[in-house]
Amino acid sequence: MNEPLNPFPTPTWLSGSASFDPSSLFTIFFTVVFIVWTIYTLISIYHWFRYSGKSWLTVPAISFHLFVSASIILYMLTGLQN
Amino acid sequence: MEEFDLEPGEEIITSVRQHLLVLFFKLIPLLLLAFAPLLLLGIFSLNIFSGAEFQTTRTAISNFQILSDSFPLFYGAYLIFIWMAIFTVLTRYHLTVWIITSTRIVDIQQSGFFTRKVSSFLLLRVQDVTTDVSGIFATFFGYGDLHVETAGRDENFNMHGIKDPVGVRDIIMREIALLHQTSAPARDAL
Repeated sequence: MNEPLNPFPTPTWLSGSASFDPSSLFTIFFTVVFIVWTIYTLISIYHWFRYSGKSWLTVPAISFHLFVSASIILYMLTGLQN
Repeated sequence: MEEFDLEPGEEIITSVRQHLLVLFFKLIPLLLLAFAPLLLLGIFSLNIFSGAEFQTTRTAISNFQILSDSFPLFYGAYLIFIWMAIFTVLTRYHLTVWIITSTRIVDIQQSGFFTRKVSSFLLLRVQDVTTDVSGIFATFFGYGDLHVETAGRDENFNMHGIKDPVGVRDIIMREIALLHQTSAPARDAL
């Protein structure tokens, strides 16, 4: 009856392989943003080609959108590496 | 613009979009929003405020190391949404156009993605064309509104912020006069 009290061991399902890594939140966040951007880009490309396919401005405009987006996404990736 | 087919003998006289300055005015709020976080961070990094609450907030933010390390990730996500909004404005600007042909006016309105309205009316039904150039910028840079009233219960057309509205009105009136000239001999022959 006089044995010392021992703390309860941490359950394996909390400390084992299922432990949560906070940095994975950033990866999920980036993935969600990238998916939204991809859907938006596909929709806007569809509209440009559907309604202004003959215009000389269509390809430069889409290229500009992709260039600016790629620059921002590269900038985002520098934050993901930290 | 493939929404309409030209009738036999019909030709496109001109197509009209909003003035570039009107587009720029629409982009200003988005550009300000894009740089707003940097401005706020700049204000926080300066020691121009000395209130206790401000210092507490500043310390709390600087202590949240994981967020400051990932600032490019969050600011980049913010920027990509701002850029999508800017590109949407540019797309709407390009896809909204008024086309004046030798017999009618075609009004193509791109309100947003998947929201597009194409309507047209005959020039012979035009009763009144009014231009409205008001304001310093509109006067100096030559843009304004054009209001076209038609006979009957047809929809009236308003073109907002188009470049050279007076010139467009002259084109419309000239084409109407030409139409009346060509239709008058046929009417007399009956």
